[in-house]
Amino acid sequence: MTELKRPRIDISSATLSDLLNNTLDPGYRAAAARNRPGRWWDGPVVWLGCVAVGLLLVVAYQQAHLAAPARDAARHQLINRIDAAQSSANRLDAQARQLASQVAALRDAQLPGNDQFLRAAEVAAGSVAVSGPGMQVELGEPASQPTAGTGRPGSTPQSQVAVLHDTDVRAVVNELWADGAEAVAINGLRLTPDSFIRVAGESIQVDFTALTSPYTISAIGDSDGLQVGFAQSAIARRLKTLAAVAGISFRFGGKSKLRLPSVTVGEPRYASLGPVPSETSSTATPASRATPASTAAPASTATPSPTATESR
Amino acid sequence: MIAAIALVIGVILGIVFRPTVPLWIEPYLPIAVVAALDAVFGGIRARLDGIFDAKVFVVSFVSNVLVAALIVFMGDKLGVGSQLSTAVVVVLGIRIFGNAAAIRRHVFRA
Repeated sequence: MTELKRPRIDISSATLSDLLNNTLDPGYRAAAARNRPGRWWDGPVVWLGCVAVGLLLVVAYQQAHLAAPARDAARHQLINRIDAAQSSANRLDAQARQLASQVAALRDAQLPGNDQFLRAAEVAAGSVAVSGPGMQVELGEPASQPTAGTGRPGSTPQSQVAVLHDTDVRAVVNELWADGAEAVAINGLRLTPDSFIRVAGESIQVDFTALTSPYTISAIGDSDGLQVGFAQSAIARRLKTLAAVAGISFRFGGKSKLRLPSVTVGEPRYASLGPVPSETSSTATPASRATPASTAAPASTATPSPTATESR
Repeated sequence: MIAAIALVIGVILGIVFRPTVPLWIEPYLPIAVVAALDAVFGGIRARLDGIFDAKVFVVSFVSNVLVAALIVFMGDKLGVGSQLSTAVVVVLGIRIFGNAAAIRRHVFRA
């Protein structure tokens, strides 16, 4: 056995020691042993070889180092453009809100008296900032993510990385509307009749704005009625179960003073101005966008359903 | 001396013309550079040993670069590309170190 084993050890150690000790290409010694006379192309060949080596070195350097800053610069440029576009969008939004409030003020000055119906419609449409008593529901993902996605960021479905889904948030909002909320906002985003709450990638989107946990849903309305109605609802029971089982944070309670911002209300795209037949109760459907699963319209709010005529 | 000048000319050519490398070659450039360095150090050492041979130098340079790139290419196709690159870098690195040590002994007599 030992005779069989010994040669193998010798071979492997010979390979290693050969690698370590004979670092020179054996060809050189072989060529020197042949001792052939020098040929005319010896010089130019070495020359060309050295040019090639220099070229290779500098090309590799350029690939490795000069390309990286270019990529970085392009990335920074894109980030700057995104930032600029976002800030200009914010600025335009603020401007639009300011102009809308000016329009409202001018209209109020022209209109005789205090139009209660118009006020209610404005509140329901979300075109004015409102304040008042109400309740707040806070939902938060568990501290530790259940399973981190393995793929590229943004490629894992939200259902795999989050416990709370858009359906939960939507159900809470619908419940609050059904319990008599007059205005609802999620994380400071006011909901309008054509708002939507849906999932995109790994995050919940409300009106094309991505939200992250925790989700704070504020509703203005009769504080006690809202709380009683919400506490008895199916979604509250479901969330309580989720809090116990999956570890989400779930709190709700009344607030004596809530302030919800306004949003710029777009033109209705499908509903047109026209005489409303008096005998039928045909309320104009909220101008919903094509794709989103829109939240339930505030059907049972204390205010009358907004008709298209009011949201000019 | 001539070789050093040629090297500098090669570098200048690269800087001036900025050749664009096809995308599919890009992954093999670093390993090709290590192989080329191995050939260069081998050549310098052979020169100092007094057994330099132009043909051996050029052939070892070209074949080193091609074989190193080929090994990494095959490794990529087999799914062991990074491991094989490591193996190539280790072997060539040992050779470069050994040749550099021999050059050092020649130059500094130490």
